[in-house]
Amino acid sequence: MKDKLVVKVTRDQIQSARALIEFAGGEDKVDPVIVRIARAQRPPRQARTAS
Amino acid sequence: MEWWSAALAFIGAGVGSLVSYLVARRDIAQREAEARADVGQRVEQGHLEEWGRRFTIALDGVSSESPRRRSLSRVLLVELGQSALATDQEKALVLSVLDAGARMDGDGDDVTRFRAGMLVDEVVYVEDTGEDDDEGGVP
Repeated sequence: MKDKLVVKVTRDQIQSARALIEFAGGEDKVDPVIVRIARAQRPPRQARTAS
Repeated sequence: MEWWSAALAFIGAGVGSLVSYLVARRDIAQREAEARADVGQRVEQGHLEEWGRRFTIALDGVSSESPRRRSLSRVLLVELGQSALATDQEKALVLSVLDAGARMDGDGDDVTRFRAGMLVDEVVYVEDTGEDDDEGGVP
């Protein structure tokens, strides 16, 4: 079984990463980890049942 | 012979006036060119000062307490960094600030650095929405 580490990043970090990619001129111009931060997904919301 | 001397005096005066006019005209043109260059230099200096003022505001804003101001400051920082007025040193500064902003979490820790000897197969980055879930953050 693969060990998966989930790293939480803030909205500010995601925006900074996206701004950095834009400023640098593309995803290939920055550290790959910056691209992964920029693509951070929102965690799936747990299903809520209405009462 | 008198009319010759009068004619020569007249021609001499005319030539003298013409030379004076040409010299004066050249002098005026030179002064105008200098004044235009001075105005252009002042305008450029004004643009540089205004750019520097905005750049300082943007740098200050990225560490603001207000999320809205942080977001707008980042946009401003990118725009100013892409300006022709930005030097290579200032562009490098923008890159460093944005890079640090992407890596540092709210506590100032670098989320891209993990403990030495930590063995994981995959690192997944998810947005911290403030909701608790079962999966932990950075150890």
